[in-house]
Amino acid sequence: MTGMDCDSIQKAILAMLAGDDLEVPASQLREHIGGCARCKSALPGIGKDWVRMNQALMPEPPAEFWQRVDARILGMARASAFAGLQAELTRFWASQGHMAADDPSSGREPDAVVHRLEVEGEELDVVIHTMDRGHVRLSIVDRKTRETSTRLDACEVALPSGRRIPIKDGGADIELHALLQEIGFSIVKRDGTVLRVREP
Amino acid sequence: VSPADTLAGIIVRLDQTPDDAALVRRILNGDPDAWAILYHTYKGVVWRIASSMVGPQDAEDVVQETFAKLFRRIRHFDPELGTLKWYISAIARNAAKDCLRARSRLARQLTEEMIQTIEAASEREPEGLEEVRRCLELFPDELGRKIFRLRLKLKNDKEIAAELRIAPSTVRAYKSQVYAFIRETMRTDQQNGAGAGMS
Repeated sequence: MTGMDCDSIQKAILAMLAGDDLEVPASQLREHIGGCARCKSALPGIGKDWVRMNQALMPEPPAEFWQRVDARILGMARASAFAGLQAELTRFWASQGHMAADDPSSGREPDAVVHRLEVEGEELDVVIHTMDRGHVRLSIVDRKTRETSTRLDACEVALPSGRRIPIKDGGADIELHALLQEIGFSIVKRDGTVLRVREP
Repeated sequence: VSPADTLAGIIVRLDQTPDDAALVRRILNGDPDAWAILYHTYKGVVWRIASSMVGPQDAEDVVQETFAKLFRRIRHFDPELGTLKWYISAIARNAAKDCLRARSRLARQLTEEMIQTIEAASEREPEGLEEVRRCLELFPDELGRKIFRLRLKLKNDKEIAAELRIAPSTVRAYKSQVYAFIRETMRTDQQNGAGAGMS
């Protein structure tokens, strides 16, 4: 036992649980409890009372709490889902033997993957970027000039489900989760001819 | 899509209990609504664990930390081992325990013993709640009651001081006095045979 009385010590423990500053120095608190069987045996009771008081007094948070937390956590969830899908997609393309590459047009982070395509002697890159809002953007880029090419504007992206997405102005937008579910695609001419994707 | 739009879009579906495995599969498939469904289904559970274990001061941090951890670990959820509610509750309890450890100035063993007690108490059905509320009303100082109620509304010392137009040092002066008073009153009632029985 030290000079502090047990009631003050137990109040200090409750203050500690409440996250308040201690009026009793921590060393004194430890010293007292180390030598006081009464306070030591009171600890579980203080813990139970702490929970019961919180359950009684904080049954539901105020409305503004959820407004604040909802916005923050759902924003975090979207970012997390997007990052997960992005990683998943990049892994998939890498597993297919395709290389990751920088976006030649925007200088963004290396979050794109490239299919190398040779169309009648012309070398093109089909660059896939994961975009926000659950979409991927497919761009056709001239490998030499690094500029967007409209060379394949007469073609379509064919998903395994049979859905066709036309290429316009050198690119196409595809829903990301649709692409993951129907993983893989080919590029076909309108007459049905499949353009070969050259393996790296 | 703003969080509010997402919420509006899924509200119709919230009255159905989502199938755990299907919901997680949708999340992993990139369904943009699935995270929001999970969050709105389980945020109340997480709140109850956080608020009962850490109190008003850090409940918000624990709720946020729980979902941040869940976002990182959802891939590891195995429906064969337990329900999603169990999985999320375990993450919430661990986040709350970390918070309590950071606050404690006790020796490590005593801290762990107390945290175990708090965790076990949070898992049981609450009882004697009316008695606790009654004791709050008995606190003799009206300003103290006001400060305490604002703390329960998750306001910090500065916000409470601004709202009540008092100095922050006055807010701090009350600290956990009301908790101590309620506990003491309950114990006295119990000794007199009138209380619902505090520990």
